Amino acid sequence: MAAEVSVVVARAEPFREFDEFYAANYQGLCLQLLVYLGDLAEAQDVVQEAFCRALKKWQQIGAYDEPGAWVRRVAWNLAIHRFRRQGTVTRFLRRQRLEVVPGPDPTRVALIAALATLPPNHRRAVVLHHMVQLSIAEIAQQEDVAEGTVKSWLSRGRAALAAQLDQEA
Amino acid sequence: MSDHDEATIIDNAFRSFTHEAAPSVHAPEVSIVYAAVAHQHKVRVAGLSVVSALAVVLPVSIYFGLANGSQSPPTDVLASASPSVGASPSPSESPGSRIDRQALTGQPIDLPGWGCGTKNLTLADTAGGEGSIWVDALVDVAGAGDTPPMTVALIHCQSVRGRLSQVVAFQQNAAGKITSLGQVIVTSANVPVIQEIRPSQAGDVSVIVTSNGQSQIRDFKWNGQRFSQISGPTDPATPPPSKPPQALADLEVKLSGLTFGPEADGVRTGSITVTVTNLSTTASAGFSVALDGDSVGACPGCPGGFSRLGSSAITIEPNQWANGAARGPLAGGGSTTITVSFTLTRAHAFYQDRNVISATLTPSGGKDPKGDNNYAESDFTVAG
Repeated sequence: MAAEVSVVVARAEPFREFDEFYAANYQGLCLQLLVYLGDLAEAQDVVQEAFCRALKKWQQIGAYDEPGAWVRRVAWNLAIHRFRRQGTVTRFLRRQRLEVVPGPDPTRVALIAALATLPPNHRRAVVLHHMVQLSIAEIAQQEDVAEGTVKSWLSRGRAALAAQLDQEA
Repeated sequence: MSDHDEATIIDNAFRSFTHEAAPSVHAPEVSIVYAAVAHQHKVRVAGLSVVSALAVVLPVSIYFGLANGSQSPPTDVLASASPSVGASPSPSESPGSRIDRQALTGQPIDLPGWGCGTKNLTLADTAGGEGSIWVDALVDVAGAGDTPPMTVALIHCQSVRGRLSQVVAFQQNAAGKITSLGQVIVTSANVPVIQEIRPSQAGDVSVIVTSNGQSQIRDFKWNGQRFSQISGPTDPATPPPSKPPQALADLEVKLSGLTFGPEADGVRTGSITVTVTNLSTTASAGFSVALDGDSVGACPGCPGGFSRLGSSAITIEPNQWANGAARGPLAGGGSTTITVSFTLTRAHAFYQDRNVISATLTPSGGKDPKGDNNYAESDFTVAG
């Protein structure tokens, strides 16, 4: 005789945790990618795609010590590999997102313009260290490179960026 | 300028940026993420539906390929379906015509419990914002034997906790009054996403559910009192096994010099050779190489004084390397080379102080024990 399976009606606890995780991490991650990519829409694309990937595997990702680090790494990888807008999900997300973006602020423009002159690896190292506050070791882990490489990127990127910001000021 | 001064300038710039930019960056409703994931599943399932129809014509099996390990119909487990209290049809009711979308959304409806509203509801025809309840899809079940004629509906609601769904069977009496015959399946820990319903070859209705990123077909049949699951998995899909760790191999990427031919109609074309070598004796994991072009230095003609060598100024062929497509693996000691062409338009930054083509190698299946040779740069100049 077959057994009846009981039904849990409410959304399971892990999904409530995802909602809170999303609310707590979206803005910070989006700002990181905005300053790296220089384009808010593109930053939103990669961040939302990263959260979509997290949701699909949330039972696994939610159990990590730092699910935020997983999402951050996915988002940055998407940005590095030139995640573009052709994807079905991205088009879908863009249709859902009706947001008025204010005009550029001079501070933002100066920083983004200065960062845009750096090679991408140097730019990532500077943003991850000075904005995300990651250590050299953490950046090396995220980038899958040696710590010495990160130090080199950071040193060169910092010198070039500081010179340009100083020139602007 | 000292390191400390550099750090201070940069920290201040990022602090100002965050302060200025944060108010204009808002997290969209989390329901958009849920909807996007559901949309993604829907696109995938729609593609698979065509294959499913072929499988019926070619009598192989109707339980195939939508989920790992989901092919074996269970023989000893019934589904969660049970009629809602008070929703059973009264003996005086006689079956009416099939229930269409207009009828279902055109009169107050009671639904079985599911974490959203249940009483005296007006169902919407399309998805809406938080608090809305809408009809997604309908499947007609022809009456035969113990099965009365009925219509099964996939219904969603958008709650503060995200999207909830249930599949409900309805019957319409001669007066046109629609009542619930009971719940077929509902969102739960074992059923995180109910994706689609369709007519069943094995029973009365097939429900496509997704869990752990995989789709499952679950078939239900009316047993005279309620819907019972007769085939398909009853447990969530098993997460795909993690891949065995790849042997660590030291990959090195190198770039040749980049040279350009003469300008023609404002365009210069050049080429560069990318070589990836496995310096270890063991085979490598797969890898990708992304190429990028940047300009370092002042750009007098550019807004703001600086310009990145963007996609409008540079074309990299073949694009599968430029976009970082996966390659490899490489045998121990092996190497692979590709010549990539660059097309530059005149208007941008390649006349600046320093122009750089960079190649970033990313191991896809394992870490590289020496990461510092995963990146290469090649400076180039273009005479004005």
